[in-house]
Amino acid sequence: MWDTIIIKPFINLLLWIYMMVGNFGVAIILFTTLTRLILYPLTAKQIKSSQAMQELQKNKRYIEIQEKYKNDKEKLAQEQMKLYQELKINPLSSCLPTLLQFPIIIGLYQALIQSIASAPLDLLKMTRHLYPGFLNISELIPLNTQFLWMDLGLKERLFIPGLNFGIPVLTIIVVITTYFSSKVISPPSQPGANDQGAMMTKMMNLYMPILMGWLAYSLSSGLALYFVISNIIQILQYAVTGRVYWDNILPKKKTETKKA
Amino acid sequence: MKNRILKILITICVLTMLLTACSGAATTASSWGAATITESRVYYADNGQVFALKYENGNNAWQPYPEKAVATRIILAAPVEVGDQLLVGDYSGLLVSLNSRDGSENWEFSEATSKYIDSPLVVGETILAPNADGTLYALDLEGKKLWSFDAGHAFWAQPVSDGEVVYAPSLDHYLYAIDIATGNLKWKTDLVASLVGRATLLDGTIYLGNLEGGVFAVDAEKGSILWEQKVSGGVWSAPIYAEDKLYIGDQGGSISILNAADGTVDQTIDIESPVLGSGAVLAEGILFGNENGELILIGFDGSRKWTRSVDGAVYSNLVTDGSMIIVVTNQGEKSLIAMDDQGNEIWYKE
Repeated sequence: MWDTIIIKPFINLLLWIYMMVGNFGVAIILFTTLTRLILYPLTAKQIKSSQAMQELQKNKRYIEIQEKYKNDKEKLAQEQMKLYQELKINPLSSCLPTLLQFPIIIGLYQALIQSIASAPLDLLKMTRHLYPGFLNISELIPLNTQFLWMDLGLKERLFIPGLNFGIPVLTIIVVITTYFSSKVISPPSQPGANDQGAMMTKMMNLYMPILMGWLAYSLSSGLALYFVISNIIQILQYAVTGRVYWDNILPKKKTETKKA
Repeated sequence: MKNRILKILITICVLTMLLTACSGAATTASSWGAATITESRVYYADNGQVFALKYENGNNAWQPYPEKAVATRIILAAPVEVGDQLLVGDYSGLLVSLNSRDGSENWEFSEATSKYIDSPLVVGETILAPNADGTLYALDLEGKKLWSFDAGHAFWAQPVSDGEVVYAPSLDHYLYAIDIATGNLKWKTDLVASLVGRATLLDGTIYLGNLEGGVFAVDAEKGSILWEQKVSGGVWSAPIYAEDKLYIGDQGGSISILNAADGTVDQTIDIESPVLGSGAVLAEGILFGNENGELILIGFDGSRKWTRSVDGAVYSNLVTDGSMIIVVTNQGEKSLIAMDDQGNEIWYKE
């Protein structure tokens, strides 16, 4: 079921793009862009819902409720629900699109691994996932996985003459783009807003780049390339809806720092 | 507050596990283990370790190498014994020589940049190690590089040799003939699709199949194609030669018996499950393993003699010394099973 609905179409689409352009790196870039565009309605819904939740934190009644029932969690939850209903806000609607996207992203990831087919079991799975008659194995395999200085089936390291170790350039780019994308899409915390949310965002902004960096460092560079393109597209998608907070990555003025 | 931070950390950990599990890069093998058999030992590579097992009972002859498996090191190619050395190639491009008596390291060769999918071949005093970086490395028995030969793409299969020339199939569709003394190319022949499996060399003819199910007989001297035939699926292993016939298992779930002289099909046996590994020649016929975990003995007359079942898929080449058969399973409870020539279990390794 999972294979039929997610993995097979993804693999065939990715490899079809590869056959068209003849370069697996370019195919990953186009494939990631295309799938992100298809998922855009879900992303847009998520952005909208997050914004609504953000604005709610500035709502006078919301702040009053937080203050009034801070020692009675049950009552606080009831009052919050009432307010959500009145303002027609669904608190789950910001995470539902993310949940829906998650299996697709996992599928995309699996498809990528199998398409790279850098070992026998991956190649075996890949050949089984090809639609009969759609792609020709003899033309398709071996895949040209060279892209810039990388072999997309291997961990990426840039070897510079004189250095006896490789520099994980793509890992560094993954860390930077993940940090930037999570930073610029996080709305700045509002004065008076609850600190827990801000703290959580701060934690995510710190840990996600480390996590993604670790994955990019230890897995094949084709996946790292996918992470980089995903991050860039995410920033662009938020920019299109006007929800990018460039100020978050710009150095703050001294006066502002003092106020904070 | 602390609970929330804890939740975030747990989420991140779960995400990491999910992604690494999906990739197959952390601990799950992206190929299958393999074994070799000698007079006194069975050597077995499974995921991150090499085992030297006593022939008679399967007990460890020495501590596995490395002592503890690490997720970042994958060893799946069958170890090769030469003198008192055991050659082991891993997925990070490291070729290691171990002392076959105690498992201690002699030397390592680290020039390759990709995976050793299959074992090296030793011809006289030359080690010929095919690597997925597209290079065939020739080393002496001390691990010193003699020459290297670059193909257009990866070498996944152990090459064959007549003692002077090495014949190496590559994923780039070509079969290469390389002079062992100099490393110079003698000829190369395009065999239409990727060559992922080993070849068989006999009396000046090389027999091998490609990923599209093409089977070829190639003249070892000139590189010309003597005949070609089509079987029902991709060929992942060396054809077995016996009594003027070639026995070839394929990804389509068939075993084809071809006349070695002209490639005509003598018989096709449908065993309903892909056959990726080479068969083993026994006294009564050829034994094949399939993805369903069945071991099927095909008699020299093409009849099915017997079938045994094991837990797990059989992808690896079956190896035998004539009296004992070694079966490596993929994700079976028993990862390696030693059987007699009737398919009865002698011992196993979990």
